[in-house]
Amino acid sequence: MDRDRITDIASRHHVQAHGVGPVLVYAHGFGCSQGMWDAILPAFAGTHRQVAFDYAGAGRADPAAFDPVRHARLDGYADDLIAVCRAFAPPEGVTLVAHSVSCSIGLLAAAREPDLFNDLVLLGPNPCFVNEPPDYVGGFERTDLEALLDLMDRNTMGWADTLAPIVAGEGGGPGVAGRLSESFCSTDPVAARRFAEATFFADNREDVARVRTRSLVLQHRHDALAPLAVGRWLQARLPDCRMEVLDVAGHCAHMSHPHLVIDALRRRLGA
Amino acid sequence: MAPESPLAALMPRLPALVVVTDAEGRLRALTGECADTLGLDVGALDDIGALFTRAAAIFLETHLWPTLRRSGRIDEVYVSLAVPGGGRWPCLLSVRRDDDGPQGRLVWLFFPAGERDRFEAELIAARSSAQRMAEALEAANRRLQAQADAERERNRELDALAQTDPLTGLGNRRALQSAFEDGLRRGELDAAPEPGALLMVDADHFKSVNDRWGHDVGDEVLVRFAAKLRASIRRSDCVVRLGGEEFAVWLPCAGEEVAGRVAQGIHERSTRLRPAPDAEPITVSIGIALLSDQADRTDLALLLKRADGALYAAKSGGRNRTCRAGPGSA
Repeated sequence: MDRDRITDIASRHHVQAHGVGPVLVYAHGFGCSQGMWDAILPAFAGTHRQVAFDYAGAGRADPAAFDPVRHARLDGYADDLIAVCRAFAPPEGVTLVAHSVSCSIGLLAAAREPDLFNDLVLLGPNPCFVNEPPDYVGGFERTDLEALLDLMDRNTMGWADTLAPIVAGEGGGPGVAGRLSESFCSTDPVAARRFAEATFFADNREDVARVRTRSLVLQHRHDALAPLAVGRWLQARLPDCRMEVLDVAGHCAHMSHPHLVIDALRRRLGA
Repeated sequence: MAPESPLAALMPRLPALVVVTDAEGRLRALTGECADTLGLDVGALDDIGALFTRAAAIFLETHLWPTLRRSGRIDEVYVSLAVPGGGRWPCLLSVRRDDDGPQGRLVWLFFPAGERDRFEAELIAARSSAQRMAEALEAANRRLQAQADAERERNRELDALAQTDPLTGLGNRRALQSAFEDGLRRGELDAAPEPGALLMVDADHFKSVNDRWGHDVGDEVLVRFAAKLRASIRRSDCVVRLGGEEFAVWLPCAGEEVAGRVAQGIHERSTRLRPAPDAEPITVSIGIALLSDQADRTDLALLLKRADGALYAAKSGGRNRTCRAGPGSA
């Protein structure tokens, strides 16, 4: 790929690539941006090349990169992920570290471009949020998820903006505070609404069968967004899939209990 | 021991819900009138998330917790709490990390927003209908735009067709007219010492080509001759077929010297053109008229007439030559 194209993708997705070594690509989840990996990145700074990026419509991605039609489906986000991996992956492929909806996006990408990925680390995956009794427990009824969209509509202003003034006063001086307030969890409300629809009404269960890449599923013990049953469901269907349960209540262990995620990653990468 | 603040006694009667949790969201205390409404009991609950509806719990996990961890505060977000036995309790939520308290405990203030919820629902419905209307308008606008573009494109094609000679693909008399008028419009013809020249070009004895080899071969010769003409002119020039074997070449911003050179080029190129391998090469007669030689520089008809006169002179002078029209009217 030529240098202009790489530069283009780097600026479109605000790609941050640092370090030398095997490549880790970090894909953020819904409602946030690459800022969510801040507590994880330092642990591998000396051993890996780490690539983090923002999906179109999130964080500091180029607003023009957001395409309301393409980004109405997770496949559109898989395009983004594939573009970033193509631009930054070495021939031997990357380890994808994905959170939440990015796990589904990563599975779609790995099914489409198996050569780009040599390992998938899936934190809190859920290929289908809607329950389908009696065989599948995604955790939610459709009405729950419609209520979520209503909630987002009512927080349209606040969804992005309440997050802006956050980091003032944190260490690192006004420059760092400014940068963080811009990047952390800032999301364009229209794009966020679209991403929410794409995320919570997606059903990628059939795509799972097309994945050939090995994977590690990291589940939270009490996770409102991804019940343990989902992890077991995935493990039964992914080839060469290992599952570990993190002793965490919540959906974002990489932020609330980063050491647990770092330990699990170290074990995986060392193996 | 300090006397208890009179406010403390009022806390359970606050028209709100106040919850204290540890940094992980485990319930430590709650108070406020709404706690009774919601039938909440601190002993029965463990995690703050259990208070939220399923929808709001997603919002909590994906958005509020990351924000709280980062900044220690949430300001005025709209959420809904689950009412035991079904239903939801809409409210506004602000959260503060109490850095003076034990291990970053969190104070959550839920303020009932049932009224806001009701009129907001109307606003949202109005907004989404306005959005749908805007989208419909935009789609209609795009369709109209596409139609207008197609129409313009069609007109351009028709224009081009109307100005094209179907046999040779050269322009016709209309094309000559519009090329000349373009020059007029741009003011190139008014005062320039060499405003332009017109060549009238006619293949010699062409009737005999048609008679001897037939019209198909004659047409083919015309097509090849058109290519020779195209190859003989400058990019700015315009060559058209007036009819039969008669062609005109309009050379804007040209004088005698350029016109002579172009005419010479046409003579030379046409000698390489034979109707058949054993046939004599085609020769042409050319009449040149300079626009600078006439008083009215806007008169294309006069220019054509003068060039035609010069062509006649070339023919009567023995053909295969170029003649130049004298000044003034032909």
